[in-house]
Amino acid sequence: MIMFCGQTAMWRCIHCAIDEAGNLLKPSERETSGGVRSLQRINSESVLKADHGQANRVPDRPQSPAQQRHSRHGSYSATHRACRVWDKIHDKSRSTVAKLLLPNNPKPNLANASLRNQFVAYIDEAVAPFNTRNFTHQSDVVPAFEGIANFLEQGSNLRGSIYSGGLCWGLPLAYFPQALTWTTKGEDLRPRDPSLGFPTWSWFAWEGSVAADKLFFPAESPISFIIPDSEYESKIEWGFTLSTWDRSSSSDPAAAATAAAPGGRHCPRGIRLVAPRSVVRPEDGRLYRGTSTGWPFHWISRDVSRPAILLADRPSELGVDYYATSQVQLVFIAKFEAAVGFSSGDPVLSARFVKALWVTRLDPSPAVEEELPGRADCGGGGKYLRVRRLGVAIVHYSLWDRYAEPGGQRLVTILE
Amino acid sequence: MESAPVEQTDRFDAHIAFPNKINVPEIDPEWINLDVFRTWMRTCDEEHNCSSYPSFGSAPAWLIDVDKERLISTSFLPTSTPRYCALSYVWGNAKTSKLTRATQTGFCQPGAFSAKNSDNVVIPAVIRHSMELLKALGGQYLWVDALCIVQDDEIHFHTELRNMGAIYNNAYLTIVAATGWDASEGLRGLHGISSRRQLASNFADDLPKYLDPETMIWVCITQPTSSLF
Repeated sequence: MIMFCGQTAMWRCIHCAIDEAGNLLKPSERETSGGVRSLQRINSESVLKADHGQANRVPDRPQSPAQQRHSRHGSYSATHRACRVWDKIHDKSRSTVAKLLLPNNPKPNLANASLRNQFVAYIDEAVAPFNTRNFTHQSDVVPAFEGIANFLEQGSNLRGSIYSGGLCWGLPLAYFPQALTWTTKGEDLRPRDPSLGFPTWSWFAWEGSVAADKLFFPAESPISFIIPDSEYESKIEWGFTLSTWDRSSSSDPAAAATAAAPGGRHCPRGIRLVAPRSVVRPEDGRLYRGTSTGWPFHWISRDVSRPAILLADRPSELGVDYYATSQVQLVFIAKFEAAVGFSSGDPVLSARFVKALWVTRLDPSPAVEEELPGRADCGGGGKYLRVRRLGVAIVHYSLWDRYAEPGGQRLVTILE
Repeated sequence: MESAPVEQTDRFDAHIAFPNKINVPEIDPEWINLDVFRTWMRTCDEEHNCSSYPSFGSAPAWLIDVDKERLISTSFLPTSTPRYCALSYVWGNAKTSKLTRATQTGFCQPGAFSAKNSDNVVIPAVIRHSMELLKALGGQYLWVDALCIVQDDEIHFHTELRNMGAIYNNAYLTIVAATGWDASEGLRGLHGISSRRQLASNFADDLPKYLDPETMIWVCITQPTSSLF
């Protein structure tokens, strides 16, 4: 095949890769970091047959942001078609989801033990066994699950059934905000081919053990979801409480979960907070250091395999540096309509971050991006990207690769 | 930014791949040398056994005839499926005419896809460039998903969708537009076809960023196929 890669072209066939100058290329042998295995890449029988022997073997390894960007684009056209088919199956209208997420609308009783138990059962019995199966072609995950989904949705007419709103990418809409906090039993969660376009907040995008052992939900204050072109505008409630439910620690499934102290910022039990290093203020687009008072924080879990919920009203209030370990999943919900700054100076990483914010299928409106020049006081000369995408984006992060910065800070590479 | 280290090597089946090192004159910073493409293709044909791997699946139902600039149905071709080239690219937001039941007849007219007909049929840059490139390389048939799958024929659409892996696999050549936000960016550096490219003064510096063989494989072959289990 002939690949056009921006400014150059190269040849690739089963036997070799060669550039315009006649240089042969071989795959990198850089090791993966963070314990995350690489994507399943090879999906064509003929290439599989050709890759016999170590010389031709394509080693598993993660991709740098540049590679991810390029590879995503190249396969996008074919898989985009497939995803549109799947959208018909699982897409729900924005208004449906909006109704469930808007705090002012009647919402399901989030601490409802019955719904919770149903969700746990759904994950344990329907999703977990399914998701550890080995699919030859990862694109078959959705059609294969369709049978299960149809069966389950037949029970949707039952009163109090968790399936009464249907499933959106495998997550029951009747329990959607909490369902987003699904997690994994072990450390074996691997992303499926991201070019298939599965939203990363859905377990469809991941292969491995899916579990609902720990769920998070707000006990008192609402989670701030912003639905664009709704009248709803909310300020971020940084004092909100998060309750946790931990299957292993509660002997009585109907028992109320442990709630953190009301008021102020607090940490759900078992999760340590790490303040972001800097945020961008929308007023002047400058990067500021985070402090313990007077500036919103973002709660990141440093504990392995503990999900955290990161919520922001405006992306301008987002911390730009995320600290995470390889097994942490961050569920991140935000509206983006302001500048997001990066201190890495890596425009590709910045672009990746922005792109990652636009992964949900809940809102297909196009993104408008423009780049603002980097500023000298950013502590790193970062580039700013202004995102004018209006939408509800739900992004599930997993540490894919780490980029060390001076001083040992690390940025997470966002996996779409 | 981290980049994949790439290095010249003869461990990568070099003696099979390219037995005679290609002598390439200095790389033109503005235009790609199509003779390089021709050499790649010819060498792969003659020296590799890439084409000995079997086809699977079905032939694509429709192909673009780049000489006559129209759509043809493979069921009307005299022989078994001819050699065709497949294009992999990003749709993005680029405006593009698509094959539908309504446009089908029009697309089959000679000259339907020509630049002169651009008032009626909008061909985005990447497809246009691919057609011209294929003509320059001597190929005749091109497969592009937007123009070779009838979008509103449910049964046909799903069949082709499931067959896409086969369509790409069985193609004689695949052109991959690995970069670009959407289909209107096109393939740069093709003299007489598209706009100039801007190669960095140090060509070697470009390599790690763009030319990663692993990514290349991965880019082109993530197609859904029909197997369900």
